[in-house]
This record gives sequence, structure tokens and C-alpha cells, in this order.
Amino acid sequence: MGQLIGTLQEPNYSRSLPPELWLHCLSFLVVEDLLTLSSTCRSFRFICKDLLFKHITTTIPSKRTVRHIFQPRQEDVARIARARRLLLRLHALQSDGDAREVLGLVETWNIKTFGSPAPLEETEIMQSYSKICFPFVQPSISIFLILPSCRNLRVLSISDIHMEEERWSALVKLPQLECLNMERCNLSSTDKAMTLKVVSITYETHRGPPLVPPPTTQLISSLFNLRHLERLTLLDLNFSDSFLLGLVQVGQFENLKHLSVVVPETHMDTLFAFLSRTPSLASLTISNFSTMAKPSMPILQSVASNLVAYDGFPTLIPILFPGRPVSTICLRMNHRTDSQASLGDPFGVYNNNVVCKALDACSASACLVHDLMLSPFHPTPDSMQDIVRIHPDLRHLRLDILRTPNINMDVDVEEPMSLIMDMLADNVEVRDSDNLSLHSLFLISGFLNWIANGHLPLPAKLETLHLHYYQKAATVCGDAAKQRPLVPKISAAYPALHEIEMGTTRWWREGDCWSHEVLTRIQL
Amino acid sequence: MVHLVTSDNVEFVVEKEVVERSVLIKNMLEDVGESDQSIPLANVSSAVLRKVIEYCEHHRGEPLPSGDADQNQDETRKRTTDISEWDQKFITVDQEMLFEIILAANYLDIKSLLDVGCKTVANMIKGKTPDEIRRLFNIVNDFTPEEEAQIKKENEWAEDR
Repeated sequence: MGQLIGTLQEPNYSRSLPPELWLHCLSFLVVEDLLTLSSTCRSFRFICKDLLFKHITTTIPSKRTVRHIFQPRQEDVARIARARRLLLRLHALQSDGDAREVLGLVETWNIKTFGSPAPLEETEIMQSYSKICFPFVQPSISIFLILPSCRNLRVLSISDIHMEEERWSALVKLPQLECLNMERCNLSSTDKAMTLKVVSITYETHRGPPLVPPPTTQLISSLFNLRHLERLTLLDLNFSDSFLLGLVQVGQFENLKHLSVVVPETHMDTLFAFLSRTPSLASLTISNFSTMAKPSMPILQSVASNLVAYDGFPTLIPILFPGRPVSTICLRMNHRTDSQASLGDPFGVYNNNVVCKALDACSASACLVHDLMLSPFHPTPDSMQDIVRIHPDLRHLRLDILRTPNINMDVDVEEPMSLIMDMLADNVEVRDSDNLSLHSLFLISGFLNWIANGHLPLPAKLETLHLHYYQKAATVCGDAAKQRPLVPKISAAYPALHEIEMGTTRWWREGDCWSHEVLTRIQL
Repeated sequence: MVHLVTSDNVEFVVEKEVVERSVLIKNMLEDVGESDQSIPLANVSSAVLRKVIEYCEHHRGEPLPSGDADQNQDETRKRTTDISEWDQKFITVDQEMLFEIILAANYLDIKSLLDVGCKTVANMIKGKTPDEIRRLFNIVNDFTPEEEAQIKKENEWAEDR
């Protein structure tokens, strides 16, 4: 009977925890789940609200979609309807108290456009359609009108917006703004001095002459603050060199710690001139696509003397790390900066030996590497032996593997093929007499087999091992049941190892117990 | 050995190494020094403390998370709700016990146990409809129609992905 009354009067569990513990629980959820939860009752609404609007993304239609509004394709209708509602609300915002409240909660706002990647040419559209019957042509203007309501905005990402004087002034007025990411934005000159910590400029279209003018020195000196700038990303295929040249003239960036850049091969000297003005630089990423470029002039030993992490092509290693300790190295032979770049022939320039030679160079200069990523790289018994020999102290290793080495790119290398090969790999019994170079060793789950059987050596102190297919976010990996007996075997040989990630499969150890999860696309 | 007394007056005698997974007790022992005097835990019942000790015994000797490393992890692995297999079995309890464990972990300051509990709650919510969540937590929809309309309007800001 007591039991029965108990079930009839079950407590309202939303009150079982204080709000701060609920917040901790909810911090593990994605926006979709938070939206659902916040519509269940008042108390959850109250708890969710701050979290819900902390990071928001708004997609607005761009130029090409304007045409779609009049002649929409079937699949466009839903998102256009949502965009239309959003834009109407953007326009109504100045008299909208709720929105003002919501926008005050926003810390990160990612404003994306869909449709054409070309910059939004508002004036051009304005000429074609009259302002009154078509309010959609000014989304960027509307956004800049409501920005002052975002009192807590720290991170703003925008794309396809013509940054002109009045928009720069709107940004200067945001009290908390620290980070500005601009993709495909046309940057007009400004004299509004900014105090940003993080600036990212991405502009990847590079066919034909650029549509936008190069950055002026005034823009560069206003946008990049000598004292505040900590992280800089310059992936502007048209103007990276102009930016770098301008930056060199601005002065010494005392606090710049992270630089990610694409450099035209002819401007390696400019890059190093800039590096000599960034004494605190700790990490450097160079995203060039297959290059072996070097600076033409001799480089001072003191250049970037605090650098501990490098991600880029191998030829710069001996120059950047002349006998200095370095903790993280990522070597990429083909660094993808835009979707087209990967269509180049990666096999033409890929060569394990080049990578091993670079590694040798950095061990010759007595570098101590703890964290190494090689992309692409083929783990063969010989090449792995090289890594173990050159870097015995390695703690973290990530290898991006070409899925079908030595096969012409025209062969379909997409899922069905890889699935079959993965299955094969799981069933393969390793025999010493096998011809190694032709073996399905090149598959990820097969790789595990080989480590477990002692055919592929790993550095003795290795803690984490990540294996992925080259330029492929999600890799379908073999059967977890077949991997289970292999994992403890590997762990016995390499006691420090506590994480093995292969494509979407992640094994990790707590105490003596190995657990397994399949990662979703979001987590990757 | 450390003596603990729960809210329902049950005494537990636990190894120091095990009980020190609780930062609260660890600090307390450091302040007071070794003594045979028992520590009263007014917010924890014996049923819950038994579970908490089971957890601490299993995880004994593992390094305690440092505040610094935590910050980094928050950024990178915030969205993963992975729980190791032993912990998953351990935390398969009824809702009341689950919330009690979270409260106790918070009070005793055992970060890893708090995370396991909170991730479990997050996993319960994941992918459910509003009605399913209401049934799960036994809550009634107390919104007025006007409030519902306003929520719909406000949520549009967050909906876009």
C-alpha cells in the first residue's frame, strides 16, 4: 500500500537538484535538446535560458537565395521560410523587448549566409528590387542595427558582409567583443581602432582577379591591435601576403601566441619578417597546399623562440626549431585550405621518406617531440620503426592514412569499398611471410591487429593513438567485438597507452578497464 | 581509517585513501589532522554513502583531476556524454538515487562522480520530446498559451544551426 501511494505521489524531479547542478547536467546537451527541455515547464525554461542563448547561429539568405525566394526549389522552401521569419524579426527588433533580452544573453553569435559564396552586393540588389516590397536585401544592415543590444557579445562570426565605416563603428561600440571571425568579407578601410584578441580572416575564392581591393595600411593598423592581439588567422588566398606585409610595418605584436596562415610561396621571407616581430608566438600553422618552400634569406636563431607547436609542411622544421625543444609537431604534406585543393593528386607528392627525413632533421637538432601528427602517412613496419627510433619519448601520435595507397584516384574510394576492405582487415591473419607492401595493413582496424601481434612497433611511452583516414572526418571502423580482445593485448605491451581512436571508434582505459564508444559526427 | 557518520546515524569506517577521493574530506583531514573522531555528514544518507564509497573504492589511486586540466577538457569534450562501462553499470539506479548521488558528489566534492551523474541525467533527456521529458521527471506543463507563443518566438533565435 505504501508502495502504491509512493507511485501516485511521485515527486516533481525538476526540483530534485538546485539550478546550478541542473546547469552542469545540461552543459552536456546540444541546442536541440535544450530547446525541447525549455518548452516543458517554467522551471526548466528558467534554468535553460542562459545556456540556450549563450551561443547562437543565424543563417541569412545571401544573393543567390534572393532569386530562390521567387523561384524556390522544393528543399529550399523550409529554410527560406525560417530565414524570412528571422529577417522580419530582425527588422522588428528595435521595438522588440523580448529580443533585446535574448540578445543581451548572447556571448557567441555566428552569422552565416547560405546560397552563393560571393560577397553580398547590396546596392546591386537594391537596384533590381524596390526596398518596400523586398525587405530581405538588407540582412547585414539589420544585424548591425541590433548589435548594440548584444551587451555580452564576445565572439562574432560574420560572412559575406561588406565591412564599411559605419559597421566598423558598430563593432567598436560592443564592450565585450574580443573575437571577430570574417569569412568572405569585403574589408573597407577604417580608422576605428579595435582592441580584439582574436581575428580571423578567411577568403578562399581565387579564380580570376579579386573582386575586392587589397587591405590598406590604415585598415591593418586599426584592425590588429599591437597589445591585445593573441590569435590571428589569415586564410585569405588573395591577400595573405598584403596583410603580412602590412603587419610587418605595424610593429611588434608582443602578445600574439597563435598564428594560422596561408603564405604564397614567393612570400616566405615576408612570413619570417613577421615572425621576427612576434616574440611570444607559441603555435604556428601554415596551411599551404603541397609546398616545399623555404625562405630565401638566412634566418636568425632567435626567430619565434617560444614556438612549441608547428603544423605545416616539413621543410621549415630545421629553420623554426634549431635545436630547441618542441612539444607538438603536425606535418602535413597536403594541407587543405579549400574544397578544391584536395582534388589535386595527393599521391604525386606524398612520400613517407620525406616525412621521415624531416623527423630525422628535427631529432638531429635535439628536439624533444611529445605530440606528433603526420598527414598523410603510412604505418608500415619500417616507417613505424623510424618513428620509434627518432622520437622514443612520444606521448601522442596521430596518423592520417591514405585509404587506398598506390591505387589510382579514379577508383571509387568511398564507403562500400572501404567497408569491404575493413571487413577483410578484421579477418586477416598476419603471417610474417606475407608481402607487407600489398597487405590490407593499410586499413585502420587491421592496423590494430598488427600492433597487438607486435608487427608494428609504437613508442614505449605513448599515451594516445589516433588513426584516421586522410581528409575524411568519419571513418567507418570495424567490429568492436573483434577489437575487444586486441585492446588489452596492446595495453599490456604499452602500459602508458590510455586512448586509441580509430575513425569513429574510440577506446579508452580507466584503471585496467577498457571502454568503447562510437563517436558521432558532431564530436569529431 | 576514517570514521564517517551519515544523516541516519550509521557509522562507516573507510580507508583514508578511498575516502580522500572526496576533496571535502581530504581538506578536512588536512586541516584537522589524523584523529579517531568521526566526521558527521549531515547531508548524506547511509544508502547513498554506500554507493559513493563503492565508487571511490573502484576508482582508488586514480589521479584526481586538477582544476587547470579541467578547463581545457571543458572546451574540447564538452559535448561527449561518454561514461566508462563500469561507471555505467554503477550508475544504473532509480531516479531518486541518481539525484541523491549527484547531490552527495557535489557536497563531498568528487568531480568525476558528479560528472558521471550529470552525464547520466543528460543522456536521459537526449533526443526526447517535451511530453516524454514531462513524464520522465513527473512535471506538468505550467505555461500559459501566451507564454508558449513567446517561447516559440524567442527560441527561433537559438533554433538555427
